[in-house]
Amino acid sequence: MKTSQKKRQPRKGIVLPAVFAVLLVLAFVVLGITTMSTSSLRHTTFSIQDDQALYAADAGLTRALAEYQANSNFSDASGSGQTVYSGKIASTGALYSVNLYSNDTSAPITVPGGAEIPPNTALLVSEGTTASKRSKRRSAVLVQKGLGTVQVGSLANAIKSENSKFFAFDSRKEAADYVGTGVDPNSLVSQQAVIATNEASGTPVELTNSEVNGSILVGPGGDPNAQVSKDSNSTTGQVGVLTEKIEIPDIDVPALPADDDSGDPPVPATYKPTSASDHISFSQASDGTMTIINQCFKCIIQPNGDFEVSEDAYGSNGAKHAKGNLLTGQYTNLGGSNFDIAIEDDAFLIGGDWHGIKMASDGTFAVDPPSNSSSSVWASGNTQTFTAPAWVQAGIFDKIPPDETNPTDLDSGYYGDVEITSGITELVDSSTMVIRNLEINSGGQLNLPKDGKDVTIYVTGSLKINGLNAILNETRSAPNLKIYYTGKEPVEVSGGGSSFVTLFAPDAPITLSGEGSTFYGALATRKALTLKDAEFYYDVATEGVGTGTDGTTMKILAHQRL
Amino acid sequence: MEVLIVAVLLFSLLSLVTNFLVKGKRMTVKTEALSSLQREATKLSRALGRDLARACGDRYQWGTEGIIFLSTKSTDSAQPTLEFDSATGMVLWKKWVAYSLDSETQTVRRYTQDLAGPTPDQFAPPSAWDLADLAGLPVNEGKTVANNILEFVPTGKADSQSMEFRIVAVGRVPLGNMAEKDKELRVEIKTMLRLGSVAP
Repeated sequence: MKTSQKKRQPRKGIVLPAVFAVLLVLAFVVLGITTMSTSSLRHTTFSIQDDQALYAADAGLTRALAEYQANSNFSDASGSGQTVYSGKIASTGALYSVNLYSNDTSAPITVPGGAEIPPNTALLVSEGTTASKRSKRRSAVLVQKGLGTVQVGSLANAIKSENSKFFAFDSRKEAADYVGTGVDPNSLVSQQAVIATNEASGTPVELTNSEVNGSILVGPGGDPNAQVSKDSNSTTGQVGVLTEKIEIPDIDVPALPADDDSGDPPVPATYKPTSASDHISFSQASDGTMTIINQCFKCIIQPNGDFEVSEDAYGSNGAKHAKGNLLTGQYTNLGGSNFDIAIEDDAFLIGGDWHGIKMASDGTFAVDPPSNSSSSVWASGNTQTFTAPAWVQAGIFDKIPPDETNPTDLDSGYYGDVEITSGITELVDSSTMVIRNLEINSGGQLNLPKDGKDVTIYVTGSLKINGLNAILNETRSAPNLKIYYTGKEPVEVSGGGSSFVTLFAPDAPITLSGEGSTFYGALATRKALTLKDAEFYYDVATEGVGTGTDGTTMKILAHQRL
Repeated sequence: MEVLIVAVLLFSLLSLVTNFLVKGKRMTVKTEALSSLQREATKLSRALGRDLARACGDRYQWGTEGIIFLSTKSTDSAQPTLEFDSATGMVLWKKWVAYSLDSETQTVRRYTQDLAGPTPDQFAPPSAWDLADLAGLPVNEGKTVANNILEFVPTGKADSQSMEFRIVAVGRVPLGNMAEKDKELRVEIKTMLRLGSVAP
């Protein structure tokens, strides 16, 4: 049987190639999309990491600044570029480390990298790194540190400077044989001319075409930007705010032993006025202290000249209270209203609201009676006269301080009017003098010789210093010559080549003026300090006229992201 | 019969794949275009951010033409990265930087002009350019920062440490279909850029 078998033909389909083709195309598409996505992802990842690094760096800086703001101190930082903080950002794992470069010197320093940073500043450089270490960014900030506690070279309630300059120097560092103009350049102290005011409102510091090579402190609660006014030609260093006012204490004029004073108190005596009086009484204690009670006021006078007088309030006038010294002529009204007081060579006069008393060198007391109607005037109108105790005559009016005109020298003691209009008046070494009125005019000179030291002058009435080199301190050191002025009249100092003085004048405005006028030392007043065409060199050897603490902790000067 | 069935199936499959590929391509092109625009906006944002980190909020001028500011970064790499005035601690300016927007080509170019030397703020010279000058700056002297930028302007939201910019990038997507016009795409970003230096 023959069977026929069909030859099986191989089948040819296109499905498989087609599927392969489609798969191939899809593979390319997927590959392309994957490549694009990977590239985009890489770009995005880099961008995110870069941002994470930067934000970590900024976080480190923020932490360091917050720490300093809170504690005024970068924890245990010595300021030589050490790492003061390091940390980790919890959410991203990024790390930061903060390096500190602190300049505690008085001159700029150069930190690694070549940047110069000024005195009293700190440079914080924070580096942020991502957890993968792939990205690093840095952020840096330069902060000005607070001034801390500083010695003040010139203190006044108002400081006005026109065409003038403030510097600082250290007289102890001047060469012994230095004779040049100004101070020995080697003694200059950079940026240490600290001037201060207790005022915290208005513009107590005004600089016009002036230069302050140092710092300015304004009163507690003040705003440095508001209280300091300067024109475009004026420059100043750091400006801070006092944590508390710098008090200028009242000047306590010392009691000096006079040549004819044995030091013994007057012989006690019971004093009674020679005439009868119905409105005044006198009494004297065993130490010589005399008490005079008027119808209105009470006056106590001690043998050393100290006196105290008080009176109750009358009408709308407040109570009166004053203290002083008959010998020095210094007195201060302390009450709600003032007594009329005059201390003259031959009389001591007090006027209250309605009644007064006059104690004269002729040994009499003149007192106005109850019928007197002249207010605030001593012993005017009808007066009653009494004989004063003998010790008043002997103890007070027989020791009238002498007046001096162009004396060759001044030694310790009390003086009335001292006028120096020509020649040189030498100050005796280690002396203290109390002068009622001191006037040095053009041509005259108050001179502290080169080997002089420790001279203190108290001026209780008026102080006038005019003329170039009116005060010549040949020691070139302000601590050697101090002037304390208790009066209220304006003090004008024309200065000169060697006016090395420490001047306290709490109740008097001070003016340094004159073309090229230069003043070296320290100044303090509760009134105004004015400089016109002058230079003031604060001598740090004086240790200033007070100590002030800057409440400003820091100020950001510059911030850079690198 | 079998062949017919296979042919129909294959045709359907190919149509499906073709349609998928065409749609996919359109999506890819659109996504790529959007991505490109965003990349351009981001490039400008990052470049501006880097430069403004060396600038000061009080020392710039801006308009629709661009922005001009002082920078503390020197073009001379030999100079220190950071420099301060040794007396005041304020930054020392090194150059003027301008970002200029060419509205015709929608290109942002960056120009710089060095100062004579590191200069304290109080002695900084007047701006190297005015805003009106930006359009006339030689194209070949500028460095192209970003393309397809319609505008970049501060929004006015700012503090002493940062300022917000709005950057708008626009572009057209060729859709590959004769019947359809190119589609315009627009990417707008708002970003806070941090400023570096502190105003004196």
